[in-house]
Amino acid sequence: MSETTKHLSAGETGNLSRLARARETYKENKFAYLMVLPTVLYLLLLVWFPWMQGLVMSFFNWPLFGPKTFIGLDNYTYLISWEVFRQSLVATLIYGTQTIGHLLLGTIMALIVWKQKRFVGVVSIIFLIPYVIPPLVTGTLFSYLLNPNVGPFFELMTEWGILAKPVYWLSDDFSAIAVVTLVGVWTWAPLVFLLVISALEGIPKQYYEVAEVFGANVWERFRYITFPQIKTTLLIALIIRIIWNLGKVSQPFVMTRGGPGYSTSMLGVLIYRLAWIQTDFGLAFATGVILSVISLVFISLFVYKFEQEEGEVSIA
Amino acid sequence: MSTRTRILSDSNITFMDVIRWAITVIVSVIVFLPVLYAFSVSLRPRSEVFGPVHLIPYEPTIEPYLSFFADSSTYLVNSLLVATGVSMLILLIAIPGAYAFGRLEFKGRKGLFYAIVMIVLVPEVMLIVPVAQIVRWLHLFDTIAGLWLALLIGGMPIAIWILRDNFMRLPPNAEEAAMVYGCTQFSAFRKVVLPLATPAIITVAFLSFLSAWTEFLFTNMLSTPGGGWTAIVVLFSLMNPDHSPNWPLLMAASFIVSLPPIVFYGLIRRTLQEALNF
Repeated sequence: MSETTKHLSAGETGNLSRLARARETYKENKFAYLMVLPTVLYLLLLVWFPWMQGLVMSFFNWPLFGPKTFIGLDNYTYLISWEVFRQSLVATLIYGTQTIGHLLLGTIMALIVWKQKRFVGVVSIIFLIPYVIPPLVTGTLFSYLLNPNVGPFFELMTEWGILAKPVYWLSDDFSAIAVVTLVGVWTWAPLVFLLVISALEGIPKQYYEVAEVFGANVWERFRYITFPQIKTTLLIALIIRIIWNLGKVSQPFVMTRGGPGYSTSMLGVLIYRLAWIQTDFGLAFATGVILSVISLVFISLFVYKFEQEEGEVSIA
Repeated sequence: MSTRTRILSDSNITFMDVIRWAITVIVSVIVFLPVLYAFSVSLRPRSEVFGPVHLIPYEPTIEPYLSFFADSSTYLVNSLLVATGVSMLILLIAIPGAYAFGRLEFKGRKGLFYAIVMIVLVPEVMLIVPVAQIVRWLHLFDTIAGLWLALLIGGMPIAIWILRDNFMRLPPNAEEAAMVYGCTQFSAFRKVVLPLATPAIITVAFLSFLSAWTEFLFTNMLSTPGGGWTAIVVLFSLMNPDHSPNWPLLMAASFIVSLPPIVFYGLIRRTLQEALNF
């Protein structure tokens, strides 16, 4: 009897001191917690709570006007064996290759503008035009320019004899995905340009003066000074682009609406079509969870790299 | 070849300069010509869309612009209200949050910060249905305020990230110095740190404005033509694959929709480059 009381009181004091400690922590950090409170509310109410809801709903069969029924992993097993889903994965992969174009073109553009002595302002404004115009708008512009019937591009190509006849890319699987991918390169290479040029302008000029003294040539200067300085930026750009390619799909959607068939339905577009055109929310959410898991891989890379960079900064 | 190089280097222009200019011109053409041609189409009557390729319209007209303004001025105003509101809200939430992440010590700082970075992993499309439910539950469906709530989501992570990065780069003892002179923790933040972070704040305001102005999937699902529709949704609806679109009108609409972000960007270009230097 006495032993239990002792035990209880010990537990109580343990709780008390924990509470006291919590109160202490709160007092010490009160200002910080108040400042961070709106962010936390935003996170919980607008992101994680809805996402959890989506996760739960991916285990249900949920037609628009029908009752919701729990079906376990059925949505997932259905997706895995569904031809359309496989097609969508392939489209996601092909669409993702545009990132190579973003990095190459963006870096070249940045290196050029950085070395330019005249017209730097004009040139960098021109280079950034595609980034500043909304992606849905540029999608609309290219839908016209590349329209095989009325657009100027194929008109010129046939006139100059480069193509025998216009490519009706809206009704051909392969050319449809090729076109939206190339338009993606055009649209987002400038973002990489912006990030890289910002990094380049942060490199101290003395580095190059020293290199010149030691007789380093163009390639050596790039390899040993420029590249190490923009490496982190390039990696950040790479990961941001991969993640956004997965999630931000309004441009390809306005150009093809995911067609012909499902050939340009990247996972993001597929979710949208499943939810809003087929109104099969359970299946849409299951696709969303899979897309989240794929993104998670790249996000982890991002966080890892970010931590590393943080370390470097604090050392320097 | 070698003589040419020598001649060029005599006038202080190297071979590399020539290549550089050649690439500059080619890239500029690839980037600029499509936009220029589309602009030319936006100044044509509908009948002039067909026929041979020409850059200067035969019968230039601003009719497409007038007609888009006449039909969609409400939606343009909506766009402006939505984007400005989202931008303000993001600043209100992200500035104190990023300040805490960047310059204050507290328990759970790292975990929370990564919880925010992780948001980028959530495909926006997946949030639409649950968020639409929340918005309906608050009786904000098809209102500007409902769109504010929903469009906050996409712009926030990058806002917090940029602001935090900038706050961290400020001199480490700025607040302490201010507090020695009688500032409280909050007034040190307001009077010393905030002014120093102005470039980052302007950058975030722009990026948030841009993200809300261009957001389409959420807006399309949370509003109707009678209520909160924004200009970008109108543009999407004009691109109806079942009809042959009115291309000059579409091009004019495209340029009208692009103009506010372009002007905003032009005003703050220098600041943007400064703040984005990671």
